[in-house]
Amino acid sequence: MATTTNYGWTTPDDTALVKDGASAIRTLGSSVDTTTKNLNPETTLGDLSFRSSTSNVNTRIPIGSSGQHLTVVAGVPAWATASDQTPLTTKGDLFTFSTLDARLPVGTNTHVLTADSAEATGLKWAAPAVSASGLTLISAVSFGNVASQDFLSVFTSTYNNYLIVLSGIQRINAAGASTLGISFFTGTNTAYTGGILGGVLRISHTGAAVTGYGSYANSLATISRLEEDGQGRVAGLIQLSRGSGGLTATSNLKSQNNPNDQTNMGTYVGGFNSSNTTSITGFKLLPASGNFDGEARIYGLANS
Amino acid sequence: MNKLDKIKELKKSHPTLNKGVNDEVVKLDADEYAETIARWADAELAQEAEIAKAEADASAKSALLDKLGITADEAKLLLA
Repeated sequence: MATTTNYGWTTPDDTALVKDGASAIRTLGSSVDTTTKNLNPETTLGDLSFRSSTSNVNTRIPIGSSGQHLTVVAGVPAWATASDQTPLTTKGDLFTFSTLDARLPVGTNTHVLTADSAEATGLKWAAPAVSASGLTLISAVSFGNVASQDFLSVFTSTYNNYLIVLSGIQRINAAGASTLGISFFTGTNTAYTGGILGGVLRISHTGAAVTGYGSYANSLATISRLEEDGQGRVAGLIQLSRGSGGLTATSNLKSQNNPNDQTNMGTYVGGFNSSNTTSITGFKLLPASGNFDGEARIYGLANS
Repeated sequence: MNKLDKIKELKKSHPTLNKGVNDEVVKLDADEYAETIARWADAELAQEAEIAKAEADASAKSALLDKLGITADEAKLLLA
């Protein structure tokens, strides 16, 4: 018996008898039917099919579910549910890329994202770079009704210059004016007694009177007059420098008076120094007498 | 008033004292309290003495002007 070229269906030979024609046609039809069915196994709307490992037999893939996508499983097509395609796992993660998708965990508080070609992803979290110029706030303290105010561990080797900004300083519950002094600490909180030389001049608001409030002390330098409660508050700057010659400071303070009483308004220009070259770590503000209140902010000045 | 009396007065008006240490307020210990009160006493006595001297000088000046029968401005003119 002859067969067809592609599917091997049996067909009558050229010499076959006509009486066997019906049988031959039925056999051929059955073969065509079987082959056609094998090649078209879909039964339901949306079905797909693919070539199976058996020649001339396709395999049906029932229609998938909504949202599924066609993928390859074990070498054949299959529907699959889409899974999370990101590498993110944790709050704050960033989606980055190296040679493939990559996760960058959130950085430390206050750190900023910066480019770094040495990193696999080209990114990293890092502390903000210290500005090449400008001020860095080291400490800000408001104090009230105290006999003295210590600022410990505010000076380090990081900066050669510091700026102390005083504001709103006045005596509390005390009559008459006094003076405001400054002393220093070494180590954690050891009072520095190595010698501080200083002086301050008060120039009245009229410019007519210049009064010396200078001091010459081993451990305390006067930096301004301190007005009576309610009669004015001292504010201004102290610039403190630490060089090879020791600690030096200049101050430019002023008393800001009650607008209704300008008698005591004045500007204080002064300075002080010590021979200590390296180990001043903090300072103390204290009135000559009485409690006081106010605010101080300490800044480091960038070295370059 | 001598220093001892001034100290007594200050201790009565300030039975305890505080200091600020960075962000904290701490009560002065006995030594710190004694040192602070003594320092306050010295400062206040010096201030009171200064005021008393200024007042005495002013009185003496006024008495002298009266004795001379001239005003302060006339005295300035005389010394110019």
